[in-house]
Amino acid sequence: MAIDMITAEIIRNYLETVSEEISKTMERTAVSNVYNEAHDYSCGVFYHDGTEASLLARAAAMPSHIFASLISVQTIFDYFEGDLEDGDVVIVSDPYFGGSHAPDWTVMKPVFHVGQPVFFPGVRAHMLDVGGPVSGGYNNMARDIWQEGFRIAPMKVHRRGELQRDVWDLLVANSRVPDTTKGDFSAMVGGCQIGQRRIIELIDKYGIETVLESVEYILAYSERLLRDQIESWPDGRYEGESILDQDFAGTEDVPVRVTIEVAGRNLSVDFSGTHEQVAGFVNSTPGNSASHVYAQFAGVCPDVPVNSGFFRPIRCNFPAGTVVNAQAPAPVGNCTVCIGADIGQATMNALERIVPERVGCAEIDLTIVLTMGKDRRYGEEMFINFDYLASPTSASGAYGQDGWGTWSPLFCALYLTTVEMMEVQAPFLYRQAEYAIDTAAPGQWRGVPGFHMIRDQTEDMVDDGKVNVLVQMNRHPLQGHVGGRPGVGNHVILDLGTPQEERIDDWAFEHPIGSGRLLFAQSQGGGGWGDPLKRDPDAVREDVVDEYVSVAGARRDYGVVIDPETLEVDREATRSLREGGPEVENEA
Amino acid sequence: MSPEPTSEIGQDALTALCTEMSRITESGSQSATLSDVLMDPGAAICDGQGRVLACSSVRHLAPFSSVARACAAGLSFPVEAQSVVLLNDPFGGGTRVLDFYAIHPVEVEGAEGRWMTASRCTAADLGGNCFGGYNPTATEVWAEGARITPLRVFARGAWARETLACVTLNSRTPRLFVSQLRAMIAAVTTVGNQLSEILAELGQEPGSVAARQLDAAAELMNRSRQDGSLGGDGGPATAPVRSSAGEDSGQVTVEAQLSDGRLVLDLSGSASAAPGYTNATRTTTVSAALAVLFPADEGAAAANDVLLESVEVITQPNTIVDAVYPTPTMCAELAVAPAVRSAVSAAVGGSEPQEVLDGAILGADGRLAEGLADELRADEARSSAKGGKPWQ
Repeated sequence: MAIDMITAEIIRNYLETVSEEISKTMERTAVSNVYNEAHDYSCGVFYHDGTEASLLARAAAMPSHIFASLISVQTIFDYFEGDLEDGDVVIVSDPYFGGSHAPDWTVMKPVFHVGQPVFFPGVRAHMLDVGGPVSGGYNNMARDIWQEGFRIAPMKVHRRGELQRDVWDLLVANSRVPDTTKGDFSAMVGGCQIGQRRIIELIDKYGIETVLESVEYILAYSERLLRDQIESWPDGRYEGESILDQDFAGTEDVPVRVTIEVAGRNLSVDFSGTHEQVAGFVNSTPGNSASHVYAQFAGVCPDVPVNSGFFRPIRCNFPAGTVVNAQAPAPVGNCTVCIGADIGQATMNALERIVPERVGCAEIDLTIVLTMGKDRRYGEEMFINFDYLASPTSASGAYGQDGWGTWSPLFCALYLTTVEMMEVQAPFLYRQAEYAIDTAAPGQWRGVPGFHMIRDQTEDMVDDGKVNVLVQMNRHPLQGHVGGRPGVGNHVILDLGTPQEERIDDWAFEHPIGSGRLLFAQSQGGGGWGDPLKRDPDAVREDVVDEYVSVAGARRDYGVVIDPETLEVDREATRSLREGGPEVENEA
Repeated sequence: MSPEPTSEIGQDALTALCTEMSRITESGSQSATLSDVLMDPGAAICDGQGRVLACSSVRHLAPFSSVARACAAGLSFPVEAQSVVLLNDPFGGGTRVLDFYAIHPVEVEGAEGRWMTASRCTAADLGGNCFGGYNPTATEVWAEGARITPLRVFARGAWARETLACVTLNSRTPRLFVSQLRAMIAAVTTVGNQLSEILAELGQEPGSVAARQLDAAAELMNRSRQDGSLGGDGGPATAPVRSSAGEDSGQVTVEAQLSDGRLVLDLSGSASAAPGYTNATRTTTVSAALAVLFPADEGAAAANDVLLESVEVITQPNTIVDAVYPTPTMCAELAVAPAVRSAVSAAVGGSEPQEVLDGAILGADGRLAEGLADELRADEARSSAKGGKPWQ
């Protein structure tokens, strides 16, 4: 019987709504501001046909979570080999069991039909702390996986509907913030249970046969649409590259190289020639690597629903023993944002040669500022804070659109935590948190301006506070495209304005911090798109009025002459400058 | 009155079973840590209230008592028959993260409540920041290794494959670690399954065997006190604590007195907790004190709860002799424990005990340490070659 496409579309959208509902459950019931403020988690619905797992639907999600979760689902299914039962809830985190890095927990609940697990609503979330030697899990001195945090092989947290208390206690015991972990973990489980309920309602309404036919339609539809796109691209081999500043263990300039080959309706993405795996904690697992590749294609093909059907035409090769497919027990703690961003950039760099009018930065470049200490307001309870305000901007320009807001489009599921909530949840006082002038990467369409933050700590912070800083994209910032300029680069300054002031271009470990010890962070914006000299002068004027660009910057970077008094464009001078004027430089 | 032979056999049977469990753990494991270096496996049999009826060594009496009582009082999850619970948590009655305890509840015909067979061993590695667990820079327990709170690793007569795999995943030497765990579990289940049968063959009621086991220890205690081998002028006695690197970490102070037939050791004047890994849990401190009071070579064969009940050890939380969560404790055996033994010995007027453990770990010429490190590295390489799948 031919599938009723209208019903199939209803079911496809229903599953996406289920994902959204799981997400809202998580957001509204989680304890940590990493979830209820920053939304650093992802939710989706997966399907297993007995052989292979597929992603069917996802809520607004982090690509490095949700796409990588596919491998976790497959791993769980293989691991339990028919031992899954109705009422089970399963957790896994280990990077070498399909995970990304130790803090990313994946929780799934199988939905059964006629004794077989068919659907898996799931949540992947970055837990605030998972034990290990360093609070927050980012141990830049890790040289093996055991130095990063508690490793979780697939385990049942619920068995046939019954909480396995010993497993629960084990997971909570290996966190420095057990009460937060309990609350967040409960939220993840609750989200999965909501997902299960809704999927059962779907099956009850339409019948399993119709739902399964729709599943195949959902996957085939996306596959067909993407293959149609690929077919429209010129056949050939296209290369791209991105360089990671360093591995935090002494190796500098780690290149990620990719070759995309288009052949008819097929496409391969080959990372041969990429740097071998490194001593530092920036190695990536295949799941994480694939997630960043898929994210770029999702960015250049925004009209195609992203699910496993979308992934089918994309054949990835991650050579074993390279930094994009490290072998155990290599450390991987910073792979989701460090080397992950370079995997994405290299791919987008290659795509620029295929579909230049569609490219832009779809990556994230978090400078990690982790603060740990005790807060007098809460009985000197220990806190661990991940400060998203240290690195909130990475949105690039794209054809027809300036970068705006904060993070790049595919990471816009991540919300910027409000200053007010940060000051409630940690003993901080923000002195500055704003766009910075002359930091937007120039382009015909510019990147979002960079961001400057100055943060103090209040007297409520007990004396032994410490901060860990990990800077990336300092020397190799986010790339521009099609002639657009790169971002200005990230850096941090500790003890700003004192004789001990220290600029951090790479990392700092357990630096003392407290009241009066200001921390400054510059976050670059994403790269520009297109030649800055082609930017509409009126748009440059708007940027000057908005104080994104200075009068001098308008001249220097865009060749636009603006009267400093009237802020009006001198069109003759601009034309003259652009046609034969001096070189423009980005000195931001 | 002469001891009744069958009673003597019954009393010795429990101790002999502990010895058997230790041997199974040692022989079944592939770990040189157990068999050659530390000779550290231990075992115990406990009654339904968690009282230790017999124990392979006084050194392990306090932790076995602590974990058994916790199990008897009820864990947060049901422990069914034919299950084994594993734990290492220093803050749950344990000693250090590398010291593992396996508890197996046993139905003994005629006994009140479920008895327990228990084994212990020291693992070579459980993750953390340093290979082998000794992390001089640790300021928290998580830098030393994973905390294993009571966890079912054997349930309803079958391996709990997933929990066992998760625990071993956190060891750099998973093959070695799995062999140790399997040996421990084999020990407690093998002996546990025989317990009813052995007692029945001896014609012994479990309750009376337990009582006689405890009475034997009490008799020993009374004899010792009459001989004046316990008690002295009471101290206070102070012993410095040094880390394995020779750094000064504070001091242990002991005041001893006899009160109503009990020896009271007051360590509350000891130094505050050190920032590093030299601190001892209260369990480790009590073990060290008992090792002085009841040396193994002086016939304290009936090592059981009576010995514990005869000594009151007073400690203050958050001192070097009573570490609180999440203080690191890996070096306690090399730092605080020798200081406790030294101070207790001085306080009760006994002789200085031998510090066997120090030599076994960090021999003066470093030879043993190197050899152990080589073995651990080789094991890690073999584990990696197998693809790191400890459940296979």
